[in-house]
Amino acid sequence: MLKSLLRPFHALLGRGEYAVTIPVMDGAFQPNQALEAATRRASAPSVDNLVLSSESILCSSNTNLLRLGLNDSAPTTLASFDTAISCLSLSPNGAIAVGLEASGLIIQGGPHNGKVFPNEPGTDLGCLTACLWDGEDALLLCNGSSVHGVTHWKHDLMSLGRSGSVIRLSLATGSITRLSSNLAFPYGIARSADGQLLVSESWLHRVVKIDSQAPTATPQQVLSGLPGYPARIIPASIGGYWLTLFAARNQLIEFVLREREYCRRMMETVEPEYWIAPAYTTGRSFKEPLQGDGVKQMGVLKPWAPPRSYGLIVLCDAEMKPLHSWHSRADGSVHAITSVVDTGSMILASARGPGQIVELPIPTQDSREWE
Amino acid sequence: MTAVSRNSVSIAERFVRFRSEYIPDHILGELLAKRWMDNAIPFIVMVSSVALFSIINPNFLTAGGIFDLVQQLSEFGLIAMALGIVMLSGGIDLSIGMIYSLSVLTVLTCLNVLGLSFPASLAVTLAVGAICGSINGILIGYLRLRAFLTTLVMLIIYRSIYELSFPLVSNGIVMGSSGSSFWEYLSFATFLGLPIPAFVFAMIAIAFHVLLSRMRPGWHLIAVGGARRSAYNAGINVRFTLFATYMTSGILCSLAGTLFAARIGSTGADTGVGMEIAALTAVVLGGNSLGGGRGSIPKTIIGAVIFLILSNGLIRMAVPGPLSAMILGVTLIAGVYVDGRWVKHRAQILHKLYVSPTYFELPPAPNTDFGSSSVYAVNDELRTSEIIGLGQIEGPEDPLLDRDGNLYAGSRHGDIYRFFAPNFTTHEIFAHIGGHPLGMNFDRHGNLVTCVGGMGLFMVTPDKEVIKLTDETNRSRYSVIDDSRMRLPDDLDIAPDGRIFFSEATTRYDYVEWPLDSLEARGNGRIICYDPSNKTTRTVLRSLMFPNGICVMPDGLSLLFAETWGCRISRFWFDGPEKGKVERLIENLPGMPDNINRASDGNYWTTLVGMRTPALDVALTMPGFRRRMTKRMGPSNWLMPNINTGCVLKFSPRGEMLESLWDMGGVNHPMVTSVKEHKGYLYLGGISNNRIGRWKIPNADPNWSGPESYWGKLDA
Repeated sequence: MLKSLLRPFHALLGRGEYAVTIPVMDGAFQPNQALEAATRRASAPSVDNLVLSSESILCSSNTNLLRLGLNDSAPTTLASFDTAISCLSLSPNGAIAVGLEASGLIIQGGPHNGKVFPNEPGTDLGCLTACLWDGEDALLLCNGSSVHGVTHWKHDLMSLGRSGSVIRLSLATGSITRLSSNLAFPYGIARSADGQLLVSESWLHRVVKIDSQAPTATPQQVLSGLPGYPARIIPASIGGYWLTLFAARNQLIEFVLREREYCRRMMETVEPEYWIAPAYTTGRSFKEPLQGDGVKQMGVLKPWAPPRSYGLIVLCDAEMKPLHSWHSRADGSVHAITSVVDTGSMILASARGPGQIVELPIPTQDSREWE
Repeated sequence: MTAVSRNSVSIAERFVRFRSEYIPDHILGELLAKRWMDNAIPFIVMVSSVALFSIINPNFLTAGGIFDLVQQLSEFGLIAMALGIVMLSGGIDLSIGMIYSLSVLTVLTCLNVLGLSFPASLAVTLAVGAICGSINGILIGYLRLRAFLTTLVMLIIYRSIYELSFPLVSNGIVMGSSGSSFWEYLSFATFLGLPIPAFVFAMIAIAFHVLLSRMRPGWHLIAVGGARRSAYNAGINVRFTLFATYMTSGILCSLAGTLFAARIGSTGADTGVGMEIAALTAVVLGGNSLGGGRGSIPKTIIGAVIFLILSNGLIRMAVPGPLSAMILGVTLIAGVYVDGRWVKHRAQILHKLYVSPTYFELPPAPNTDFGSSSVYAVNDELRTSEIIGLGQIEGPEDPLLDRDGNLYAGSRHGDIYRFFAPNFTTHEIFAHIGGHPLGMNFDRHGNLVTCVGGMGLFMVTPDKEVIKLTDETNRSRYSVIDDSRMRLPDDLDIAPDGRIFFSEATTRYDYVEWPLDSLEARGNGRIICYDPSNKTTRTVLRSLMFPNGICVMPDGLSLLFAETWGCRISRFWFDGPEKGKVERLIENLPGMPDNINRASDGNYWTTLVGMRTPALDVALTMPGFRRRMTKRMGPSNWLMPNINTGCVLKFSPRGEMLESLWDMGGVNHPMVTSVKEHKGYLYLGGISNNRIGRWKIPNADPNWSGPESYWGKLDA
């Protein structure tokens, strides 16, 4: 009641929900150039979801499923699909689940080899963003939006999408159970120590915990106020989790999100790559919007310029408290980290913006300055 | 789908357009920026309290009521002024009431007891006031004691003196009388229906207003009150200024006392008691800042009127004395609160209201795609440019070449560099100006004329002497802000008869605030002409959208000018049969044009300093969106034209676009603000770059140079 009374007042003065303040990158998020300085291991256009297999990693790159040996620098193509791969997961016994843009899910290998679960109305398989095996016979899936497909994620963000869901798909029967719905673009899923599910809710800049046994319960917020848009989560070999953020928040974007009329006109008349919206990469065209501090001074773009695209990996502890982060800032290029794998001795991250797989050392006991 | 939705918004959009065209929002901010706006609130309070009390008390606005009010104001107003100037200096004087009562006693003693003439009595009285004020002044100004405590103690001391001397002369005052006819005149005469003291007061008030607002002592006083340390550093004698302020305050109090004595003819034990708090209330209600540095005589008078109306009104309404005092006390606290808020937030409110974006719709930008057949198609032509002065010069906005091929360019440090031909590897500081030199050109005599951001139009002679040509033009008749001073002279060119035409990009923002002007997209700029023959400066064209490049055409009658935010280039006839005509030559450029210069083949070079972005084009049709953007976040986050990319364009005198040259990677020339052709090469400058580019023009006349094109060959 009070909130709705205050709304026009807040809208006028830019307070409350109309404030465009964003969390400062401080503490565990203190910027560095560690990600920008990371070793470039391999290139693959639009490289997205990485998963660890024995002695190699699998990764998605548009319509192709690639394999990259742990010491190789050139990936080989394992399989190709009709539409782009939107997520991947490998079962303990080696079966691969492949989420496909707009067309559902395919299983390769294992007892369910070749099974196809097409995207049909009511299946919640139209915008698969992340996937996790639940044993060998079921999958836990993040469906980012029930309105937009994965390639139209910008449309979902700019239209304030809240239609995502987390589902459990039984491979034997094909039955689907909704574990949680009305999520703001769930983009990553991992199992927590207590057997529940950690899900990154990208448009709300938070990670929630979902009780897989009690589908009706409200998701419980475990990490919020992130300075970026969280993507996939995996457990870290040194304990805790690796959380990727595919873009950083930006005051102008937050402002545009609140300016519904402008947003509508922009979405109608401007091509998505030139929107005031987060992006996988920037600087490719002068038609991209520019902000004040993004102006090159003396030929140099400042790293603190308001970013449209950004590279950010966060190490969190077992309670999802951020410990440390690796950055590629506005002047860098290793942007749009959507996924990482942890081999125990290093992490490999997919930078979707430049289409690169980069390698970072896992911090040793001595170099963990945050402890 | 797009067309349909455009129609559906068109009514709302038409309204926005109409509003931005016909309602001058920007005037509000400009009014608020005026110093006298501080008076607005107290003035409104005064008018409304007059209205209120004339309803409550029907006698209030009669001749008698006004006479009473004016009579009181003459005395009380002087007291308030005495306190007002002290507060303006950042101090306070609590002893004013007691100086006042001592003066009443003095003047009556002189006239009635000692039988002195009126001039002698007045002199003695003013001397008493001056001495009392000087004691305060010495203690506070020279001995640096705290004003509050010092004047509180002096209040007690002066009061004691009064109480000790009052019984000695009280009988004499009552028994005696003055033989002075002037005294009688001051006491009882009226002029134009008003008491004589009112005219005395008015004259003093006007004199002090002029002193404070128009003369050096007043400016010193305000400077000391505003920022004591800065005033000291600026060479102002702070101690003397403070001393003089308190002394003047004392004299004003004794004048008030004289007027009171003339009116009442006697004095009592309670004369002047509580006067300091009354004066303080008046001064604060008038909007004078307690912290010093902000205040004026009109404010003080307004405050005094409000206070008198209020206190008289309370008496008329038969409010008991203590309650009335309480009400006035609460009023003082409220005044102090409002003053504090206002001082703290004034700049912020002003900043929020000043920026006033307008509706501006551009057609879709022309195609710039790589490989397309568009004349604007992106290419790599400029990649082969050589680099001059990398890391040596910062901000060469407009390079310039002389007849010998030496290269001149301004820097953001306020210097003009000269790189020596033919290799440009060595350089010297040709001249130091102090502001960022922008557009530059040579006149007939080889003087380098330049527009200096934030300063004006300057000239550097071949002997390196720097001469200011002009920094002021005629003020526009209907402009709220004073637009006579130049804020952002940008580019210039010189007509055959020596007249210098130059653009001033905006009159609403300073040199460093130009991005705000890009958000307004209003015609805030103008073209100005300086005539060296009679040294006059006149504005010749107004309401231009960030006029930037200026290039006089060889006919000597017209010039080309670029409007940066308007994305267009126009021709303006300043002489001849078509004088005054403006013709749009090129519209809807894909970016923001900057300087314009002649090419050797009779065409013209211009540059795009930045590119339009589709998201910005949408925002230009939504003034409210842009206004909120400036309010919600800082400039570092605002949406701007993409000035990380630019290009060089060549167009014909008829306005046909001939070619475009790009540095696609944007490594050397992310932004180009100006190009100049010289002997087959093109020289590229960028206002936020740290290098000058030199690019070989294919098939260009290898002998052509700017100075020759303008002024012909030198006679050997």
